[in-house]
Amino acid sequence: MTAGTGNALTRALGAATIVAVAITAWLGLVVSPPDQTQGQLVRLLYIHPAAATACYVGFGLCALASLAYLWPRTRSRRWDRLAAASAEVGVVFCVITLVTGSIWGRGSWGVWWTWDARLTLTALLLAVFIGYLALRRTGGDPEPRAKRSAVVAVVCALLVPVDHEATTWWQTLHQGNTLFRPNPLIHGLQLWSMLLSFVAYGLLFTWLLIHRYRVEVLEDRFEEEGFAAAIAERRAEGSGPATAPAVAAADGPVMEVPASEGEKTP
Amino acid sequence: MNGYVAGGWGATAAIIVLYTWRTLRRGRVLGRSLPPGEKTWR
Repeated sequence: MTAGTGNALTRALGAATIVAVAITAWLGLVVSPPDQTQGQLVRLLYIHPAAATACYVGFGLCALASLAYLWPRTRSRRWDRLAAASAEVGVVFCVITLVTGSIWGRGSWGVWWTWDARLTLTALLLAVFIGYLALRRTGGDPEPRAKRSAVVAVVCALLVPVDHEATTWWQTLHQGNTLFRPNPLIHGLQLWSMLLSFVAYGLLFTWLLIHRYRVEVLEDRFEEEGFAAAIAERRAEGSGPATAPAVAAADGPVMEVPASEGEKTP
Repeated sequence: MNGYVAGGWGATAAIIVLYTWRTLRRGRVLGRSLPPGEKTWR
């Protein structure tokens, strides 16, 4: 086992991500011109929509992996790990979306926050997926916990299309679609900078997801090793001289418990 | 570049750097605490 979660693939992907982010920053902050109506604030366009898209992809992937876990034919621990990893990365991009959106709102609308349908639904999306991650941390057997989490993920992800279509279905302060419409609102260098930001965020999302997925694999192995060591120690206790009892911590290796504390346990 | 643009880009960079650092560190700590076994990824 390597010491961390990296290998040749992640190093190459990481290098490509750094190059793409650097070019996006150079185009977005230096080369592309200010907008006629938004002025310098248009430079937030090269971070905010791509972050929102990465957040939707993360939550959508979490729902798809959860469905694959719930389906008996495709049930595998891998899908559960992918759901956990993509939800966490999605939450990070959702936070970026809300923070940059709030800053943009203050600059263009004059307020940090307003109870607009798009903003409120994005905040709700963040709240429900933080709840999902909290649910995953509850104790109990891994399989029922994974099933329970998968059902919750599928229900939570129903908010994604509602949030995306909020600017179409309701009157909102938030602007509608910039790119995918008959007459796109931006052209030339602004358009290319924005498209490149999607590529950069896509690479970053994939790189983070691979590392986060591997952390899940290591955590599972750690838990298994912890339980195996605890069982081996118990067996050794039965055949050898009396020693302090050992228990497996919920998230760690074997822990020594003082004899007096161990005796109190019914 | 105005303050809002700097704030937006700065906040984004800070969040990504912090999360990346936390994830890589978690992986490194877990990898070190496990006994040497088969390589899962090369």
